[in-house]
Amino acid sequence: MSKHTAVHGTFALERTFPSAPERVFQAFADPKAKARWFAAPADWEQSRGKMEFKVGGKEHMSGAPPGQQQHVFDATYLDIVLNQRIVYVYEMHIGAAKISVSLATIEFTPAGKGTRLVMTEQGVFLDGYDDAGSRERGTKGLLDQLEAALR
Amino acid sequence: MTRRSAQHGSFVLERRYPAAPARLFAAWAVPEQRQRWNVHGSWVVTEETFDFREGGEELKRFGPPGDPVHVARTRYEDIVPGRRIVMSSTTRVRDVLTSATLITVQIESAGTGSRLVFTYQAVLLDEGERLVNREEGWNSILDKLGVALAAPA
Repeated sequence: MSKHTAVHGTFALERTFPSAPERVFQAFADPKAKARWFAAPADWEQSRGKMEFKVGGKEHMSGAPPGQQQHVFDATYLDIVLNQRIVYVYEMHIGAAKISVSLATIEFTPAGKGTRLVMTEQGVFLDGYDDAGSRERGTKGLLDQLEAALR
Repeated sequence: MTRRSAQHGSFVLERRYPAAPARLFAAWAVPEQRQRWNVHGSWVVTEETFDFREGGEELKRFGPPGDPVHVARTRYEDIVPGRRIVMSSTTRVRDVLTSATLITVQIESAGTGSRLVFTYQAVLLDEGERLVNREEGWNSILDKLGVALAAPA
């Protein structure tokens, strides 16, 4: 691709779950709990690398729709405050192309007996492969899966 | 339990420099060139490592003269030579995380010189942090970059 574009975008998603902050946080911190909801559609071929949930630790996941190129998620954890906050940066690739770099902040706040979660993503979308709108829709889908996993 | 604050924000700065895109890119890529301008105002850098490549990580300790309490760790996420640099970084003050940022530098030719678009997206993690201070700091740094580019290469 000859034109090297970079388009910036931000979105914030908010959910309230009936589970306590400790349990919602664990769904992000524990690799087995996270695998229950942070997953590609069922018909994708999927592989998971080691998840190192610590500051500076990495997480890697890849998957491909039937007959299509690999989608790769590569994250590095920047900040972890137990039961309160997680900050990480992640890159997405499709095949050999890097399509985005995003800074994600997840905040967990007690709300009655449950938890209010705010997920903010500040991203740069590269070379026209993706945009903030479609990433927001995809992330909403993941939070729907989280909601189902917490039930 | 102390609640931690997190403020999100962004700003975009633009500059035109009378230097070709390759020279402007080199001012970021080449350590000896970047050292001429990469701290704001009268602040000083007291420790610095360089690793300008995709996946490369750098450390910079800086602050007011005599009190270099800020430590920035930067990772290069994307580099398109002569055109684009995307980097993520964290800043700590006395080991307390104060921000995580995503910076995009875009370079394009403009007449005989070049245009730089600098986009700063950040989450500020300490109540005392203000985005406007970060913006002032980067305005100062980009002005110093202009001075460095005006000097003989």
